[in-house]
Amino acid sequence: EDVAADDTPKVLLCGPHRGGKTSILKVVFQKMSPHETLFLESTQKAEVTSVNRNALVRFKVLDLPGSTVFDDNTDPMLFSRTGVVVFVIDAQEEPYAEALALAKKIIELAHKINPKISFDILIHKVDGDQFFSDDHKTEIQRDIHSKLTEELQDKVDAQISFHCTSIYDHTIFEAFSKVVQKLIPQLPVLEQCLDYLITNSRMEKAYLFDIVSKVYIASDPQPVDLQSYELCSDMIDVVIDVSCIYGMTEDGLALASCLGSDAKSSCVIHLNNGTLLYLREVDRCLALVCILREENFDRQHLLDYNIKVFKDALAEIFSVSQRPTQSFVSSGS
Amino acid sequence: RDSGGMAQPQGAKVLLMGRAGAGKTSMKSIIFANYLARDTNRLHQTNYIEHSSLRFLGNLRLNLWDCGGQDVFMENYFESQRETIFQNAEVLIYVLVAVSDKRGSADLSKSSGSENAKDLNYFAHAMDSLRQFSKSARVFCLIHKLDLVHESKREEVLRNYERDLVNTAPGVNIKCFGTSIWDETLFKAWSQIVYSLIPDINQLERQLEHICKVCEADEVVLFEKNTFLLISHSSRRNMQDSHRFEKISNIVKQFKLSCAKVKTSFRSFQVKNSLFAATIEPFLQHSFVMIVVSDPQIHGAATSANLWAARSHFAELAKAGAPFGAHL
Repeated sequence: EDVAADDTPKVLLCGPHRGGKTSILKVVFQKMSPHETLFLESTQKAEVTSVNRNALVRFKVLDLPGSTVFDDNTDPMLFSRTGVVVFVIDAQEEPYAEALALAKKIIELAHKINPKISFDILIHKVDGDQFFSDDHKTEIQRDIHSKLTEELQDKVDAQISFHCTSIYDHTIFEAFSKVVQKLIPQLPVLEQCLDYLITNSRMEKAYLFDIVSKVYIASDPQPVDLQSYELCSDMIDVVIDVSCIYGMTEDGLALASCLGSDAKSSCVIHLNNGTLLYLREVDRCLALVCILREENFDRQHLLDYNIKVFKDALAEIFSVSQRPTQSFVSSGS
Repeated sequence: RDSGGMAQPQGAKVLLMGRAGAGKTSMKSIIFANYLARDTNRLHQTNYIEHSSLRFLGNLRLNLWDCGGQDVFMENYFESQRETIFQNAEVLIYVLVAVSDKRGSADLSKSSGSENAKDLNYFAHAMDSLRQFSKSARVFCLIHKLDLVHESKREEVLRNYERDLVNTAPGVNIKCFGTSIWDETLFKAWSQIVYSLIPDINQLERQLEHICKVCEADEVVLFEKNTFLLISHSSRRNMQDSHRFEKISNIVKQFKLSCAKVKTSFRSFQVKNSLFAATIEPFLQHSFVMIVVSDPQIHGAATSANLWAARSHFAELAKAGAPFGAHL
């Protein structure tokens, strides 16, 4: 497949039939409402979704049908240019033995061809009444984790992460944030810049969001609290929705342009618990969302200056990335 | 409903009727979420009418008579309890579920949907009773769950219902809305319903016009604090989106829910880009104001200052006895 030939970082989405792979793709990257995914048809052949926002957020997602056979005949090109393999297990389909056997096969095969691939196992569809309790989720995750690592232990030393997800809440976005972050080689630099920013601006937390999908591609090194991520993600909805009402030009710009192109887009939300949320567009489709305490917002001009410094750093990172470089994923050596 | 001087209004009696499963309860909780001062006084046990007393805009009381929709109760309303229910009502809201007529624009009352026929029957009875006991009541019909009808057929379905409902009570001004809990249409309908209950709305609008001019704003909009239903607005510019107020209600309500998840609430916010700046903040005790400015020359601080002045102005008016001031 010529998809494998170009050097854009790739994500492979695989797993048993009806696990929810295509639904995940549509909800996260194509703004489909979770309810609409019920009408999606079964994936018959590999589908590629290209995400190309700017120099940082550029990758392709390869959605493989559940019927794909992985064996020694599998084209090695499939894995040699891949950065992350996402394996989706339907948590509502017990027992997991068959799914785990498939996962093991794929992991072994992929790792052999390209030892740098990292794996994300999504324990998916943890929505509905069955999975109400956090205890149950933890139990399943632990169970799957131990079964899989047990089988793979001596053969493969790959990076494997586990996430419990559902398309009906923010968990799938959080999981995909982690996936996308692995595709960005400049991540450590970004995190460093964000760290400088929050320290010098007295912020509690800062996220760099992709506005369209609302996954965050970087954050400062402070631990991420899922609830604060959700609130920031919802804030982006507010900004986009209000901007679409009042911020369109006379000729009615198309939604896509409205979303990404206004460099002066900003928003401040004051909450009643002494904190506020501050959003600033820092590049095409990229927004910086910061959480600050009310009293630390007293010198907004200095804050804005620091954000400008961050923006400049970002621009430099972009210009470096755009210079021709060797392929991101090298096989072997 | 005499808003003379500083007298507290007794409250508007609002009848909410419709058959079981029409969606009355979920509608109520969405609009008045967390604010339903549920009156546990079930006045007439046998009627199964739920009374809620809601405060809107501070002083305005909505006495919501949610009439349970089981067929047996419906029969009851139109017989023994007729007078009690239908007297002194200011508003009747009739809710029915939208159903697509697969045969196209056939007259719905003759369609195979006996459900529709029942609705029209009950509605006709209600209109009859209303004519007898509360002649000047306003009538609103909500054709609900319109999201279940295919998008291409919605307009047609709505027109058909409207026609049939209007025909059951010729001469009466009936306002119909297509609604769904999944979008802003519900807010639009309820905004209009509540708007019709606000006394001296003209005076309020004149004041907003003045604020809009002074702030050199594109528009100034007043929302009720808890429901975020539109109270009034004044615009100096033609806006493209005629559904924008209910969209804003919806946007804010959604964000309120997000904040509630992290056990907080928002106080104010401002969204801007190179083309506009929209500020939403508390106005008076029971209201929020949204001010939209597109003139880049106008500094945010100037707008804030003007809003402060407007607040004290309204406070003065209230002291001098202006009825609407007390409501806000």
